[in-house]
This record gives sequence, structure tokens and C-alpha cells, in this order.
Amino acid sequence: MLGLATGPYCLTACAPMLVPYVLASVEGRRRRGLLTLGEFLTGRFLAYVLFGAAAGFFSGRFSGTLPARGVAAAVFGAGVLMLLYSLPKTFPTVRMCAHMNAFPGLRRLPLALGFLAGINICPPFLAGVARVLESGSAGFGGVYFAAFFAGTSVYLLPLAAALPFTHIKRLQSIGTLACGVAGLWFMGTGVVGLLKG
Amino acid sequence: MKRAENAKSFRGSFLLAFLLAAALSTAALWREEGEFLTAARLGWACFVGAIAFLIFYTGRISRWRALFFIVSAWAFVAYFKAFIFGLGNNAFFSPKIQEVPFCHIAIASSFLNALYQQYLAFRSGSWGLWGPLSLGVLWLGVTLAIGQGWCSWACYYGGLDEGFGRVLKKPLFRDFRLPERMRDLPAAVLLVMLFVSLSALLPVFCLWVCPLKVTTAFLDTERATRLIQLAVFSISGALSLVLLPLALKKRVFCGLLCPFGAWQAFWGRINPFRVSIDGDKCTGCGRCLKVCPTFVLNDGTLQNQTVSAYCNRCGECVDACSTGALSYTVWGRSLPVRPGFPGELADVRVFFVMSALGVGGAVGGVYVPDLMSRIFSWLAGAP
Repeated sequence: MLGLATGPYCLTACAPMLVPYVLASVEGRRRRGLLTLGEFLTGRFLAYVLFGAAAGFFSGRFSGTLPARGVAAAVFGAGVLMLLYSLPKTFPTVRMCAHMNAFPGLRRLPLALGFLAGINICPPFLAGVARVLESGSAGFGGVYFAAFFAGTSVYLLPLAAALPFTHIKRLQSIGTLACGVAGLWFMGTGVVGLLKG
Repeated sequence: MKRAENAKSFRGSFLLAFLLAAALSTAALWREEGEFLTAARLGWACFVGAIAFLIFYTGRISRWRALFFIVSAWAFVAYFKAFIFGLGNNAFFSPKIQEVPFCHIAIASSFLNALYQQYLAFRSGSWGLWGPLSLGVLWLGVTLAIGQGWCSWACYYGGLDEGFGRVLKKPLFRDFRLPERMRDLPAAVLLVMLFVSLSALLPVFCLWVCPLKVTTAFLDTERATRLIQLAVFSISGALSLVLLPLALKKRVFCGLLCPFGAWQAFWGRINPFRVSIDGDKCTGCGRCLKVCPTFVLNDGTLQNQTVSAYCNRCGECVDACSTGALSYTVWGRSLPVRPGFPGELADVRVFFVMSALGVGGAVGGVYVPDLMSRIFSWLAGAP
């Protein structure tokens, strides 16, 4: 119920990561588009379940403060990956950018982005963590966050509406550039978060 | 005065200028305001009329348009932030508008709220509550009238980087060529900033990126965040509004960053005015590429003979083309123009310039006369 109630927030939080990538990479192939969406959701699922289980497991020893720097680092990491994805496509003739294609995280970028988006702590996520911390059980945490994932993912499905437009070359170019812009934005946000602690 | 081939006659130019000035003067004669303000409104109408006359009589569009555009932008800055220039007294405090008109990009974060307000206003029947919707209707009217032409004729910010771009006679980096795909950068910024603004429920672009915050405030309550915002603002402003326009003679902010420009390029397609290339007349000399201030024209444009939707209709390329291959059209078609008065007036160029200066003059009419009247009253010894 928490996921269903707060899912629209997840839509707006995940869209800046997912939509530019979908526009840039799917190239009108529906199957590839659905796989991308599936990978992203899988990444989020893994992050939620792992985080939920960890929160439940550590609840006894956890002082209640959340690892804010870890979250900022995740946002920064997502930014780096998006920028690394965008640069070789935007400047294919620049040798330094061309080498970035080989960066390992880029092969499963939607999975990585989904994972990093999943551990991005937002108000609904915090409400879920508070509930799990009370339980003190890793199993309960995992199941709770799996359900939270299911509730919020309903709201991400409308992002598939972008798929029929991905064959448009202009949108592919805009998507590639948007990956870079979003990457810079998330890197900046991450740095500010790291500095503030 | 040197006149271009397609210059209009004195009679025709004067008639068009008079019509435009008369239309803009109605605001001064209609309302009962102080004598300073009435004089200022008439002065502004005459200024816009004079610009129209110079455009039609000389046949040169962009030089005179730029003069109008730069004056309008600096007046906007002076109107809203007179204290930047040390003019912080009461004469420069506006009782009417105390903050800049809401930029469209900022609305993303409060769109649902605005929509709900409109619903309530509709239910209550109170026209006084229809502010945001009125802005939307105004935007639609402007888009129908001049489309993307907003960015070179009416935008109250565009004159800033245009002004710095015109300081040097020649660019410092003459051979600079922007990769074609980079021209979509404003659309990418728009896409990301819309999502991020919706997520944060804040006008993120305005708070963090926009270098035109010179006319608005830093809102964050936390000092450290405000300092970071100030640093980003200073760096992006210095680069995109001053240094890069100086070095490249291009409008870098308008061409490569402004998300509203991308928005307007998308919706501007509903406007019929275009800048078109006549392939039979084009010699491929590339002069238009060099003078285009917003990176719209490139080698691909000349090969395909299509001008992209990002074109601001500034007239720079139309003026620079020695063979007349570039011209204003209606959906790619010209009108058969008969030489001499009055047949010369049935020209797409006339219709577009009159629309664009009309919109630009009306937008400037909101703040330039008020600024002028305040300067008059300040000079007259107001506290």
C-alpha cells in the first residue's frame, strides 16, 4: 500500500535516468525497449530487497541514522555512468571519449541505473525503512521492500509510452545528449550531498 | 543611408512605422496615468516605430532588430534590478510587478497545482484568479504570431548575449564549428530539467542552472546551498552570456542552453513564418553559416536546403546572403511582390517584421515605459 500510495514520486525520480537512456539506445526496437525497462526494474528490485533485508538485519545494531554519504555516492555513480554512456556517442571522433565505451558498467547500464535509483533514499523509502527497523528481521525487510517495489513499479510502466518514438533519429540524439546532461546533474547533486554529509 | 535591394520606399516604410507606433500608442492614450508615464509610453511606441522604419527603408533587418532587442533586454534588467546599478531608491521600486514574469520552465514544478487553481477559478467564475491561464493564452497568441521568432524579437533576456556577441567585429575563434548534434542540447536540457523539476517540485533550472537569475532571487534558505547556486550562476553567466558570445560572436546561451528556446522551437511549428533557402539561388558560399548567431545553419542545412525549427528568424542570414537565396516565407512559399508603393507591402518580410515588432513592442511596453518614467521622476528629484 505504501508503494501504491507513493509511487508517483518514484516515477519522477526514475524518469530522468531511464527516459534519456531509452530514447538514446532503443532505436525503435520494441523487444530491446522492453528488455531495457525489465533490466531497470530488476536493478531496482535487487536494490530494494537487499536494502530491505540489510535494514531488517541491522535494525538491532542500527542507531537510526542512514548512510547519507552512501546515497550521495550512489547518485554520483549514476551520474558518472550516464556521462560515460553519453560522451562516446556525442563525440565519437574524440579518442578519449571512444575509449569510454569499454567501461564495464555500461554493458548493463539499465540494471546499474535501476540499482542506483533503488537505493536513492526518498521520503516514501524512509517510511518503509522505519517500518522495517521496527521489525528487526532480515526476511521481513526483504519481503516488505519486494512488495514496496511491486507497488511503486506500477507507476513506472507508463514510461514504456516513450518506446514507439524511439525510432526518431532526432529523439535518439536528444536522448544521448540528455544522458550527458542528466549525468552532470546527478554528479553535481552527488557531490553536494557528499560535501554536506 | 546605404539601402539593400529589397528596401521599401520612404512612403511605404513610413506608413508601416506609423501603423505600428499608433497601435502601440493606444496603451498610452487609453489609460489615464501620470504625465511621465504617458510620455514614456509614447516615446517607446515612437522608438519601436523608428526601428520598423529603419528596417523597411534600409532593407536591413538584423542590425536594427538587434538595437531594439538589446535596449529591451537591458531595460528589463534595469527595471527589475535597478539596485545592481546603485539605483536603490524609491523611484525604482515598482508597485506593480515586483518579480520577473514566470519563466515557462519554472512552471513544471507547480503545473498540477496551477491546473487545480484554474479548475477552482473556473468553478468560482472569478476572472481575477485566471492569472496562469491568461499567461498560457498569451503564450499561445505569441507562438501563433511569431513562433520561434520570440527568441530574437521579444524575449526579454536574449538581448544580453546578443549584445556581448556584437562587441567585437570579428570572432576570436574564426574556424569554430559546433558538431551538428550539439544543437539539440537545449532540448536535452529541457527534457532533463522537466523531470528533475517534477521530482524535486522546485523550478530546478531556475534555481541551479539559469544564468539569467540576474533578475530574480536565490531562494534556498541554507547559506551553503545559496553559495553553490551563486557560484554556478556566476560561472554559467560569465561563460554563456559574456565570454563565449564575445569570443565566438554567437548567442551561446540562447543557442545551446535555453530550454525555453527548445520548447518554443517545438511549438513554433504552428506559426506559418519560416526562413527558407532557394536552392537555385544558393551558391554555397557559407556566409550565412558564419553569421547565424544561434548555430542553426550548418553544412547539412545547405545540402538539404532546409532550415531547422530552432531558427529564431533574426534575419542575420537573410541580410548576409548576397544572392537573396535566404528569405522569409509562409510555410516555404513567397508572395508575388509588385515593385513600388503600395504593392511592395504585400511581402512576407513585411508581415513577419510587423508581427514580430508588434509582439516585441508590446512585451517591452510592459516595463520599458515604466522604467523610463521612473528615470524621469528620479531626475526630477523623487526620493
